Amino acid sequence: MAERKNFSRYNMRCGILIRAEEGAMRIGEIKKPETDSRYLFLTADDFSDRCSIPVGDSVYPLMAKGRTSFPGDIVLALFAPDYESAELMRRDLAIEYVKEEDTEEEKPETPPDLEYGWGEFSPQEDGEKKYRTTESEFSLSHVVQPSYIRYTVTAWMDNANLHIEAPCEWMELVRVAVESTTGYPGKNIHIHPSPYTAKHDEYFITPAVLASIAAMATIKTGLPSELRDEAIYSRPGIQVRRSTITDEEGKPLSETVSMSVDMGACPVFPEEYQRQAMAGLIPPYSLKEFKGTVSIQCSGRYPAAFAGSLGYSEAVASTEFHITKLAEDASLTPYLYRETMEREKRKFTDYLPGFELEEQKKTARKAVQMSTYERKWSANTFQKRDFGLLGYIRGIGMASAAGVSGFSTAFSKKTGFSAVMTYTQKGNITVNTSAISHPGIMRRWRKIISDRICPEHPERVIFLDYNPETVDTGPDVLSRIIASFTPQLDSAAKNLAVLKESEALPVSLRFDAENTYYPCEFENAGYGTAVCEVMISESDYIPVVTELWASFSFPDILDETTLLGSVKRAFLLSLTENGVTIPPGFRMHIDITSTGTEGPVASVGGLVKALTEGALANALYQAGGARAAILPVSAERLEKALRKGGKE
Amino acid sequence: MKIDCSIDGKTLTLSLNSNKPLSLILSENIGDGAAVNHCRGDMCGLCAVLVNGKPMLSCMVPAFEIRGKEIITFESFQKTRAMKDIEKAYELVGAAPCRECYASRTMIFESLISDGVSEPEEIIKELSIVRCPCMDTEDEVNIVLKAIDIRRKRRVRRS
Amino acid sequence: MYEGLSSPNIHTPHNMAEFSSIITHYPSSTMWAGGTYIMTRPDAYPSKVMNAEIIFLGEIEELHRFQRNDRFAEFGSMVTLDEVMSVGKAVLPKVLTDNIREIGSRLITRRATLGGAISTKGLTTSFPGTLVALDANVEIRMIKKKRLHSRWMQLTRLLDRNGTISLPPQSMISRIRIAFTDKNCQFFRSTGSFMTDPENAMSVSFTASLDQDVLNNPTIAFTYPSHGILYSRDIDNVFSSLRFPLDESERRNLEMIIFTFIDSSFQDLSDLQKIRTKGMLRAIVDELNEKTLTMPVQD
Repeated sequence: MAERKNFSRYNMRCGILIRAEEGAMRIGEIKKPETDSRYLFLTADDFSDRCSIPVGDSVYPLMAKGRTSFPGDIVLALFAPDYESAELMRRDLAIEYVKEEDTEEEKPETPPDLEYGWGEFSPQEDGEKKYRTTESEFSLSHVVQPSYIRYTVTAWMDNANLHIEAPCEWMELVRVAVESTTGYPGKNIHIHPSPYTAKHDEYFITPAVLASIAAMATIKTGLPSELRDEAIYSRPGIQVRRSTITDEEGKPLSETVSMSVDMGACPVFPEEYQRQAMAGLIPPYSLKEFKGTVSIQCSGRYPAAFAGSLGYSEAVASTEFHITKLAEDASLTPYLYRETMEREKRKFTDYLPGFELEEQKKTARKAVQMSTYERKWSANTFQKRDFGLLGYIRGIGMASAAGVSGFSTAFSKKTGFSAVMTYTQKGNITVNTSAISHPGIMRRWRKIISDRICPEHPERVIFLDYNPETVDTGPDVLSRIIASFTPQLDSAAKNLAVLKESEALPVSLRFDAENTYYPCEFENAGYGTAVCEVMISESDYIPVVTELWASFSFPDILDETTLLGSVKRAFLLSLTENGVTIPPGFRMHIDITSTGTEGPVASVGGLVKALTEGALANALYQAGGARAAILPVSAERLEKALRKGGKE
Repeated sequence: MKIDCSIDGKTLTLSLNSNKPLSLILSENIGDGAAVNHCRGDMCGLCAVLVNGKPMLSCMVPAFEIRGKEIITFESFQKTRAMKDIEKAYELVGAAPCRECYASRTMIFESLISDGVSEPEEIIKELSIVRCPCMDTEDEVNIVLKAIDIRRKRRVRRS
Repeated sequence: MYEGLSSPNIHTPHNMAEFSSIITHYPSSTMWAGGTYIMTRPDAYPSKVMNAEIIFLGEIEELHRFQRNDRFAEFGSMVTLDEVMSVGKAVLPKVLTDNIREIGSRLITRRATLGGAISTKGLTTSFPGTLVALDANVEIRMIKKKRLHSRWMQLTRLLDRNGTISLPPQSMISRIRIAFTDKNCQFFRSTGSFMTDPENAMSVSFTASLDQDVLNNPTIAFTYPSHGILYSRDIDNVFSSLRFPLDESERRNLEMIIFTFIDSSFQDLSDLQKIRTKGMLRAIVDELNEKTLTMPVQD
C-alpha cells in the first residue's frame, strides 16, 4: 500500500460544505466575495453530468444541481488555506434561494409495492360465530439530527495516482464514487482507510460523498485537499396499519397489514428494505389468511440511512405493538395472549423458516418472571385517566422476537459478495477481499481458514492490503460480514484444501455468497424478549425509562462478556434514540443463555432495536394511549397526547 | 496571538486566533486523531482532555486560557501505565466505552481514579457530561472503583 | 496559514485598577469569566467582529476571594460554582446547592463562575432566579466619569421590565453576598435543558418560612431561559396570604392568580413551559401541605 504522503498542512486546502436550509428551492445567484487563487468553490456544475454516486441500484445525489431537493442538500463546497478562513468566507457568501411554485418535482424511482400473503378467509356471521376486528397503527416519525461525529477525508496526488484517505466501511464504494464523479481512472485511485466511529453502519455514504468532492478539489488545484463534515443521523418515517379479524375468543384468523416507508429524497437499497420489512411484518401467530404490503415512498426530506436496521426491527416492533392491542381486545394480558395464541412452530414463509417457537417462549417466560410483568401490567391498568393523586403515570410493555442475520438471499445473489482465496507456491494462503474488519474478527477468520488448510500455521493466512485490484466484498453493514461472510470463508477454505492437492500451484478460488443460500430470504439467529417500564411525571412530561429486563437465547457464544456489553449498549442507544430519558438509577437486568448449537451470534443490534421499540411503544401505549406511542417520544408530543386526547 | 503551552509533554509555541477552542487546536494544529467532533458547545461531551490534571471539555477552553498550561490528551495518555489500569478495569467489569466516546470517557475516568472519587453519585454526575449513551451508570461506577483498587495494589507492590 | 486574522485582543487585568483603565479605553469590550456560555454560542469562533476586545477576568485575584461569617457568605464573581459548593453544603441555602447540583457534571461547574452565570447575555440561566429568591446582594463596579465606582444593591433591582438582568454600561458584578437564611422551606427544581432546549426549559426557586400554617417572607422566582425571570412582590404577597394545607380548589385558584402574572409578563411561553410551571407549582404546594401536616406543634 502506498504510504500516506507526508505533505505539509501549509500546502493543503481545507474544505467545508455549505448545505441548503430548505428543500424544493431553486438556487439563484451565488454571490461569492472576491477571492484569490488560495480559495476554491465547487458546485454541481464542476461535476458536469457526473454529479451522483451509484449505490446499489440507486443513484445518490452528490450536490444540488440548480435546485435543492431536501434540507441539507449540499449546495457548495468551499476550500480555503485553513478552516478558519473557510469559516469566515462562508459568512461573506450569499446564496439566493427562490421558492419554486407549481413545479412538478422530479422524484427518484421507487420500486413497486412488495406484496406477500397466503390463504383466504371470509368471515361469515351466523348465529353462533361472531367476529371482531382489531386495528392498530404504529408510527415512527422521520428523524434528522446531527450525529456528533465528524468525518474527515483527505485527497492528494502523487504523480498519476490519486490517493484518498477516508474513514470507510465500504472502501469499494469510495473508489467507485470518486471514479464516477471525477472520471479519474479507477486503477489509479488508491484508498487508505482511516479509523472511523459510527454508532450504526449508516454513514458509509458520507465518506464517499466527501471523498468525491475532495478528489475533485485536488484534481482542480493539484494540491492536497481535506474536507470535513458532520455525519447526519437520519432514519426513515414509518407507518404500519394493521387490521386483524379474530374469533370470539380473540384468536386471529385473518390479517391485512400495510407498511409505508418514507425514505426521504433518495432511497438506498429500497428493495432490500422491503424484503427485510416483510420478514418482520409476518406475525408469529398462525393465520388462515395474511396479506402484507410494503411500499417505499420518496419525499423532500433528508435521505434516510440504515440507522441500525433495514426495516426488520421496525416491522417487528409494529407486530409486537399489534399483539398488545389484540390482547387488549381479548381481555388478556399481552403475555398470556402470546402463550395462548402462539403455536409451537412458526409457519414457514418465503421470508423466514418455520423455526420452533419454544426457545423464544422460554426467553419470554424468563423476562416476564424477572420483571413481574403480569403484576405490574395489571396494576397499571387501574391507573386513572389523568395523573390522579400520584402525579405520574406508568406503563410497562414487552416485546419478543427472533433476530435475522445480514442481508436477504435475493440481495446476496445480486451483489455476489465475492472474494478470492489463493494457495501460493510458498504454501501461504492469501485472501483478497475488501472486507477488512475488526482485529478480533480477523483473528477468528484466520483461525477458521488455517484450521481447514494448515492447522498449525495460522500465520500463513494473509489478508491482502487494500489496493486497486482488491475484490469488492460488498458493504460491511448490519453485521453482514460476521453473519454471512464467515461461513463463506469457511466453505471456501474447505474447497481450497482439496484443490491445492490436485491442481498446480498457485491455485485460486473465487467465491461468492452462493454457498450460503438458504431456502428463505433470511435465517433466524437468536431469540430475545424485553420488558421495559416507563414513567411520565405530571410536572415535566419527560418520559423516563425506569427499568429494563431482557432475556436472550443465542447459538454458540464466543465471549459472553463482550456480548453482554454489546447488548447493553444496543439497548441504551436504542432507548435514547427513541426519545426516552435514562435516569442515573436506571437498571438493566439481562440474562443470556446459549443453546450450544452451531452458528455465529450476529444481528444483535437489530434484534435489540426491535425489542426496544416494541416494548417501548407498548409501555407508552399503556401509559398514555395510542397517541403517546409514536416514536421517538418527546415531552412535547406526550403533553399534547395526554392533555388533548387522554387514553383512547 | 502567540501562545506557549505544553501539549502531551511537548512545549509548543503556537500562533493562533486567541479565542480558538482547544478542541479545534488539537485536531487542526496538532493533528490529534482522538478528537472526533467539535459540537460548537452543544455539550456532546466527546472532547475531554486534562488541563493541569483537571478534566475539561476542550471545546470550552479558548486558546488564551491555555497559556502556560499543561494539556494531556488521549493520544499520549493511552501509552501510559495509568491507562493500563483503566483497560484492566474495563476488562474486569466487562464494559468499555464505544469507539466514539472512548477517548473522552477514558480521560474523565482517569481524573476520577486519580482523585480517588468513590462516591457513586459523584462518579455518575461527573460522567453525565458525555452524551453518548453507550454505558450503563452501574458499569461506570464499577469501573472507577475497580481501577482505583488496581492502581492502589500496583502502588503497594511497587513500594 | 491565514488563521488568526480575526483574532480578538485579549486583555488580562490583574487587579481592579488595571481593569478600570482597560474598560475606559475599550468601553465595548466583552467580559470573559468562565467562558462556558460564550464558548457555546455557535458564532463564538471565528469571531464575528474584527478586532474584538475581550477582558479576561480570571487573573483578578480579588474576584476569586470568598469569605463567610455567621450571617452571610460573600463570593467574588469569579468564584466557580464548584468552589461555592466547597464553602459548605451544610451552611449554604439548600436552594442554591440544589441549583448547582442540578447542573450536573463538575466539568462544567469547575469552569462556570457565579458572576458569569448571572450576567449571560441573550439567555437567562437558572442562577439569577435562585439568587433573587435568596434576596442576594451584588456589588457593581462601574465607570463613572472615568473613575471606578462601587455600589451594593439588591439583585432584584438589576431586573429590567423584561425580566432579564441588565447591568449599566462599562460595569461588572464583582461580589455576591448571600445571607444565610433560616427559612425552612426551600425548593429548587429545573426541567428541560437550558442550553439546548431553551424554548421548553424552565426552573423555579422558592424560599419561605413556614410557621404553623402560614408562610413568612415567601419569595418565588420563575426562570424561562429565552424570556427571563418572573419575580414580583405581588406573587410573594399572594403566597403570604395563604393558609396551609391548601385543598384542590385553593390550589387551582393560586395557579390562576400566578398565571395572570405570567401571561402579562411573558406572552409567548410554550405549552410545555406552561404545563411545567403548573407541575412545579403543584409540587411546591404538595411539599408545603405535607410540611404543615407533619410539623410538630410548638408551644
